[in-house]
Amino acid sequence: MQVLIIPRDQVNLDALTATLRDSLRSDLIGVSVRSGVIVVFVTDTTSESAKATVRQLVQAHDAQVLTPEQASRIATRQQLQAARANYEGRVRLSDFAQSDADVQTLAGVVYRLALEVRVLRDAID
Amino acid sequence: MAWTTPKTWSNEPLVAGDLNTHLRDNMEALKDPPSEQVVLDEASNYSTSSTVFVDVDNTVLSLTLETNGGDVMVHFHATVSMSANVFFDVLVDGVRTAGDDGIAVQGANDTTMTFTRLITGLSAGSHTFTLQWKINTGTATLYAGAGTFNRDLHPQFWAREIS
Repeated sequence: MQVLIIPRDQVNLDALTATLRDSLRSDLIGVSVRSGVIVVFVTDTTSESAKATVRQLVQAHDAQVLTPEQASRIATRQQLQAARANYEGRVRLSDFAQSDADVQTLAGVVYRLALEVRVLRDAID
Repeated sequence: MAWTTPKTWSNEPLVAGDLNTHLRDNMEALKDPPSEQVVLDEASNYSTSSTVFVDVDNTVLSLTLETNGGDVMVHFHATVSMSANVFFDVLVDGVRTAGDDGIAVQGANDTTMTFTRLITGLSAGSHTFTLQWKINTGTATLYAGAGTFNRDLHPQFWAREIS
C-alpha cells in the first residue's frame, strides 16, 4: 500500500472518493480525512502518473459539489419537510366514523403508522 | 524504571544494593508501568472511505512502549458515525492483532465504539500500537473533539504493560 498525504481543508469525502475511484479504479484503496490533510491509500502498483493525477484531483476538489446520492438524500429530506408542512394535521379516526368499512380500515392503518413514525422520531430526537 | 527479575536469596546478607534493585526498583516499576495514552482534541474529525484497514492517524493514534516482556492492554473508546459498518483493529509492530474483520464493528449511527484488547507474547523492548479502521461501504466519521455541535467528543486510546 502506498500512502499519499495531501494538505487540504474542506472535503466532501463521498464525492472525492467517487472522483478518485473513477480515475484510479481498483488502484484506489480508500481515502481518509484528518486535521488539515487528505490521506489517499493506493495499491503498491499505482504508477507515478496516476499518483500525480490523484494530487491534481484532490487540489481541484470542490467540497460544495454533491454526489447524486447526496443530492437525492437532500431532495428527499426537502420533500419530507414539505409534506410535513402540507399535511401536518393528525388523523382523527372519528372523522371516518361514517365512512365505508374499507376507508375506516385504511384510516386506522394510517393512524397506526403515523403513531409508530412519531414514536420512532421521538426516540431519534 | 525497568523491571529486574527478583533475586532468590539463600543465606547471604541483605545488602542495600540488592534491596534497592530487587525491592525498591521493582516496586517502582510495578507502580509506574510502561504506559502511553492520547485523548483526542483535534481541529477536525477523522473520516475514511477505505474498505481495507488503514491507520486512523499514524502520528497521533500510534503509541510506543518500551516494555519488560509482559502483556500489554490496549483500550480505545470513541463515538462514530457511519453510513454502513465501521471496523477497528490494532496494529502491533506492523501486524494486525485480530486479523479478518478486526476487533470490533459498529453499525449504528452516532454510537459508542469501545474495546479493550490484551496483547500477549511480546518480547521485552519497544512495541508500537496503532489504531486502524475500515468501512464496508460509504464513509465513517470518528468524532475527535473538533467542535461538532453536540458531538464535541474526546476519544481516548491507551496502552499499558500489565504484567
